[in-house]
Parts: sequence; structure tokens; C-alpha cells
Amino acid sequence: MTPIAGACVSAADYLTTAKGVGVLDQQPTVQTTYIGGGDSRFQTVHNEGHMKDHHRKKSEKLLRVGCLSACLVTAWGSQNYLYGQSAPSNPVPEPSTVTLVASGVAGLALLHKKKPRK
Amino acid sequence: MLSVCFIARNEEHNLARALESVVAVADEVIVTDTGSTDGTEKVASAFGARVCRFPWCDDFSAARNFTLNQARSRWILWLDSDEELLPSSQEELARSLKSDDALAFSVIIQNLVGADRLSPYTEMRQVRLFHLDPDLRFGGRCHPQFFPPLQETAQRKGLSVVTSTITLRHFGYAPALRRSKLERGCHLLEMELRDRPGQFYYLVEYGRTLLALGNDQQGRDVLAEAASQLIPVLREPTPFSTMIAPLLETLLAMPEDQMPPGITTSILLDLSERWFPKAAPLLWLKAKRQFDNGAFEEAETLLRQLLEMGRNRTYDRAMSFDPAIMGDDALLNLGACLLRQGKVDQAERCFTRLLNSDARRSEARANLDTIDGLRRDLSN
Repeated sequence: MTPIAGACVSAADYLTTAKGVGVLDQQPTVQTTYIGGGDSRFQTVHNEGHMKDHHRKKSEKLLRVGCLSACLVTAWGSQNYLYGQSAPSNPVPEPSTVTLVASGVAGLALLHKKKPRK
Repeated sequence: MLSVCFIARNEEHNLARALESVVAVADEVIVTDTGSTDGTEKVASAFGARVCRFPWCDDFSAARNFTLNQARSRWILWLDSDEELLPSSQEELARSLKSDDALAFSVIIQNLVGADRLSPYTEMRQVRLFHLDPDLRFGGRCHPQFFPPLQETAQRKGLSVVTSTITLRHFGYAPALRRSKLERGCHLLEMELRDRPGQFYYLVEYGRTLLALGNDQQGRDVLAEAASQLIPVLREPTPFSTMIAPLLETLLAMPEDQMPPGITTSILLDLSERWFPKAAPLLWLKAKRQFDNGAFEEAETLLRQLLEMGRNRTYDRAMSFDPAIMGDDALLNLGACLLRQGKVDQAERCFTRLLNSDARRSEARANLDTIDGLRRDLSN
């Protein structure tokens, strides 16, 4: 397990730190009121139905932004070293795909070859 | 028609499985014991094998060549004690023995990472079925190879080396055995290079083994000697040895300031792409570099390529590696790449699929929890 290096911040924190740089640059067209400075929550002012949809889209966007810096667990460099079965120095080549395709085409050509008229 | 040959020492726990897989197809089975103190001989005799004794002299090739001298059939099938012939290969094996123009056959070896038959594995090729012929003998204290090279002998005799789908299953990577195998190999490789210095194949093996045992400085020095043989051939269109691939793999995993003189990351990446485009471990390391550099889209492409190679089995079979890099580990990292690009739904699908994985379930769960945490933060 190799946690990714770097700061781990929540989406909300990210918005605070990235204010004016990231997502908050693209403010909704409807009027919103931000609570508590950098807080990501906002209140709708009018048009509930429209705002629900808008809120959902906005949340998805904020989520994506949060994912850019979230702490993730990855699996780089944790594999087993499989010792003892390395390549022979003079390996036998694998059957070539090109050869197989070529022989397939040749076979088809033979199948479709017209018989000579008697 | 067929002699199946083994060398064994203290292999009573493995040998029965191996012998059981070949008794039906062999005209004779020879087990050369190199000094067992357990029931190896008893197990071999119980399966009707002829047991020969050869005092261990730190040389696998010497023990193998001794065994070949005891054989009496036209064909030899070589197995290690921790391998078995798949039942589905018996028919092809019988057909192959009737070939008039083949000197030898390469077979597929499934390298299982665990001790049971359901473990994940990767496949590689080796020549294990060949004529009993005084011109075909092994060399090298560790990881024996044909000396002179098999292709040369085949050409000289006007015969061919044929690619078969005969398959052996190899159980040798059970974690408990790994350390002792490494230590034994290290000792033999050191002796081999003392006897015949400068052999590229064994330099790479030795350097990698030292690194795996934690002997970093000596490992890097040995690999630097191997890498010095690469410098004059960097512009060649094809590699002079497939062992270059594991060398590139090991060097690519090093920090730039520890790389041998004259070798840089860009040289290694260039050679990987030109000489070994289908080597999964090299693609994996390339993906890691892209990921570390924040090039998530490029890393995503490479990880998808690895997953496809695993699905279609289109990877290079010249070296063994952990199948996880084309399976669960690739999927976990792909999820991370997608998430870093803001592709939350796709990432979630990757992690959700891994909830069925024994190896990466907890990591996938942790990442799904992280996504849930982000969602909670936003809804509060």
C-alpha cells in the first residue's frame, strides 16, 4: 500500500484553499449566498426546482474537485518479485500474428479460387 | 519413447504431485536425488521412478547432465519437482513425440504466485521437451541453459525448435519459499560469475537477486556492469538478449541519481518502447512514472493496456512477473487515475469491482470510503 504523497484535504477544505482559482470562479448564474466565507454550502434564494438541479450539478463538480487531492490508496511497487524463471537467452519466438493473418488470408484466397472450366 | 527427468532434494512434499502428472505418459521416470534427508526417494520409488544419486556440487547443470546420461528414451521432458504437467496437455505431448523434424519443443509454464492451483499466474516459455542427444547439454550453475545455444544446434542438424501449447504449472513462488530460494540462487550466481565472468544473463540475474535480498549497493554495482554492455548497442533495432527486459525493469525502478553511468530514464523508456513493447512490467513502471508526474490520462491509457493484456493474454512471455500488474493492482491504480481526473463514477466502478478481490478489497474499500467522505462533506 502506497498512500499518495501530498496533503489530504476534503472537498470543502479544497474549496477554501482554492477559492478564486478553481470551482468558485464559475459561479452559478442564479444568485447565491455563501455562508461563512470559504464554506462550500450555499443557500438558494429563489426557484426551488431549478436550484435543486443546479445544486446537484454543482455538488458533482465540487466532488470532482475534491477527488483531485483526496488521499487514495494505490498499489504501485508492492508486487511480488518472482525469482527463478527468467527468459532463456535464446528464446523461441512466439508465432507471429502477421504470419497467422497472412496464412489465414492465403487460406481464404484458396477457398474462393474459382475452379478452372473444363 | 519418453523419459521424464527430475532432480530433487528434500522434495517429498512436491514430488508426488509432479510424478502423478506424468506417470501415464512416460516410458521411464528418472529422479536424481542430490542429497535428500526426507522421504523423497520413497515417494519417487512409490511412483515407479528410477532413483539415481548425484552428490550436490553447487551446479544445477552438472546434476541435469548427469540425469540425461541415465536416460534411455528418444525424447526428454524436463520437469522441476514443484511443477506438474497439465492433464489437458497429454494428447499434444503424445503427438509431439511423433515429430520427425523437431529437435525440441518450447512449452508454456504457468508461474503461480500462490501454493494452490487457483492462484493467479503469468505464463512464460521455455524449452523442456527435446531429443536425447549428446549435443544437447546444459550449462550454468543456476538456471541452466542449453550450451551451445539450442537454435545453433538445431540449425546445424537441419531440425527445428517448435512452439507448442504443452503446459506445465509451476508452484515455486509460494511466499514461504521465496527468501531461501533467493539466497541459494545468489550463492550459485556468484560462483557462476566467478567461473565465467561478464556473462550478461547471469549479471542481470545476480544484480536483481542482490537487490531483492536487500544488498542494494552490491546489486547496483553488478547491474552497472551489465548496463555497460548496453551502451554500445543502444541504437540497434533489436535487443541482443531478452534478459535486457528485466534489466530495464530494475533500472527504471531506481531513482535517476542511482542509475549506472551513461543510463538515463529517457534511454530506458526509449529502449522499453522499441525493444519490448509488450513487456508488462515495463509498461507498469512507465505508468507509475506518469502517475507520479501527475500525467493521469497517460497513466490511465497504460493501465488499460495492461488490463487488456491480462484479459487477452497478449503480453510478452519472456519473463515472469506478478500477475497483479495486469489484474487487481492495475484496476486499483486505474481507479486512482480516474479519480484524479475527476471521473468519479468510473473510479467508483473500478473500486466496486475490487470488493470481490481477496488481495485488494481493503484498499478498494478505503478509496470508496474516501469518496463517500467527500460526498458527506459536500452535503453538510
